[in-house]
Amino acid sequence: MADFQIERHPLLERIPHGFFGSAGGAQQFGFGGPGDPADVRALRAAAADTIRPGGRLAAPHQVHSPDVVVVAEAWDDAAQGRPVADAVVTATPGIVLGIVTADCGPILLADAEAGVIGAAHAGWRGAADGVLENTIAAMEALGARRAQIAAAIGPTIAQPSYEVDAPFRARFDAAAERFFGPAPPRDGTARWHFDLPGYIAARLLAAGLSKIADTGRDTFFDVARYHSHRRSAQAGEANYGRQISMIALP
Amino acid sequence: MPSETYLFEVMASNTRLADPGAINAAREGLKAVLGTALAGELGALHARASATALDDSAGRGARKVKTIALGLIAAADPARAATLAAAQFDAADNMTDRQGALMVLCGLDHPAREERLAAFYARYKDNPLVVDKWFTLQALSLHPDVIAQVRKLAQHPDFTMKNPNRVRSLHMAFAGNPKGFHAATGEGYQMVADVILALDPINPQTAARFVPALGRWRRIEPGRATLMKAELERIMAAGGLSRDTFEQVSRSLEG
Repeated sequence: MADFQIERHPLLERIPHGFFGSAGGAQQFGFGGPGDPADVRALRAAAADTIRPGGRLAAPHQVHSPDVVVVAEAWDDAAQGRPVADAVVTATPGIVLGIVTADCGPILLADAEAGVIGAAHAGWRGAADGVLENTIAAMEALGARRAQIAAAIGPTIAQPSYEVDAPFRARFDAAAERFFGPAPPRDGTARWHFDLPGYIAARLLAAGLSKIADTGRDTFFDVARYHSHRRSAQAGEANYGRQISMIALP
Repeated sequence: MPSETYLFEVMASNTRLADPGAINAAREGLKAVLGTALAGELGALHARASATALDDSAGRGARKVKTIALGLIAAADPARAATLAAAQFDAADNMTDRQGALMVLCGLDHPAREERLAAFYARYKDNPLVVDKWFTLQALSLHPDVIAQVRKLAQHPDFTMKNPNRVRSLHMAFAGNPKGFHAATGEGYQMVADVILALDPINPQTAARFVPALGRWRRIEPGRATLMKAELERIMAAGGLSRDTFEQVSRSLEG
């Protein structure tokens, strides 16, 4: 079996979960990334089995939407035909929720007492459009209580690595000003560093969560451990790998 | 021109480590070469762009061109750039031109720098957003004394650790200034660590956001990496940290 590089967060200690790394770029977990889909499928299944032996993976086809799927039964984990969404929630034991990312934030959520879990994919667009709030609401509909939900933000592009320009900044309102740190101007235009994990944490806090943690891992920077869309794009690579984050009920 | 973050990535590939000092020197050196080789063309371009005052896309483009031209001239011939920038500042009828000129002046050791900074402050001192910019321009500057200047600005009557916008405009801008932050002496790292320690009891969320900048030591050449790690260890040793800051610092150290 593959030798996985897994990071866990103490905030979710009662819940089987893990943020998988790339193992030096050797492991790629997305059907959208390079490699044979059959290999990707096998790797994802092995990873799910590591999180919960015998568990079945439910990982959606992600499109940077605010949409959530409530999972009662896992689906065939194939390149085509998976439900289109950017978050999954469940109260069913035996299901392993999965989200793939490469700079965007993977967020794993759990109300351990109620036995309800969630996994969300939040880049700036998904976060701004409400994917986190929708995930929390879907968990509540399954019996979770907002005050009890713990959320851990996995490896994502960190502020010093995320240079943005004025058109990017213009997409946010004045209240989001605090997530933009001034960066050196370039090519005659102003630049900022955008704090995506900070923005995600603030959205979770505003949604009424109080148990929020950030693993503090920078996907762009930590080459040995993570895939990064931005890093691949800057290097002129045609495609980029994804890491996966998973959570399951005990 | 590619950002220093990008050059850092290129340099620190595979097992190689990045040298932020060498990157900055090479990038500024290239600007100086371009500024020297194209001295006549850049001067003419700046003059031509200065004659375009339309407030449409052509006018906005012209203002951008002026700033780029001034930046290259400054790298090659600081005295000439200071004269041009001061003239641009004095003739400006808009914020972009004033700011562009001031940005270039901030990096130069020239009397026009202090005069125009004072003039800009006097003009906008009642507008907090513009005062934030005034702090930021200085914190991001290429001036050799940027660390001492930021230290002095932290004592300015308009600066307070209690205003997160102001903290970002000065200290976070400085943490994003590759030249100042990565000064070979380690003074930049020390200043950011001091900010984290001072800010943590007041605003732990904002304090924690400064940690990733120091947390990048692993892919930096050994001299700077040691200094960065030592600052993270100093923060840990101080004790009494907020949960946010403690977690970020301990993860940055543990690997």
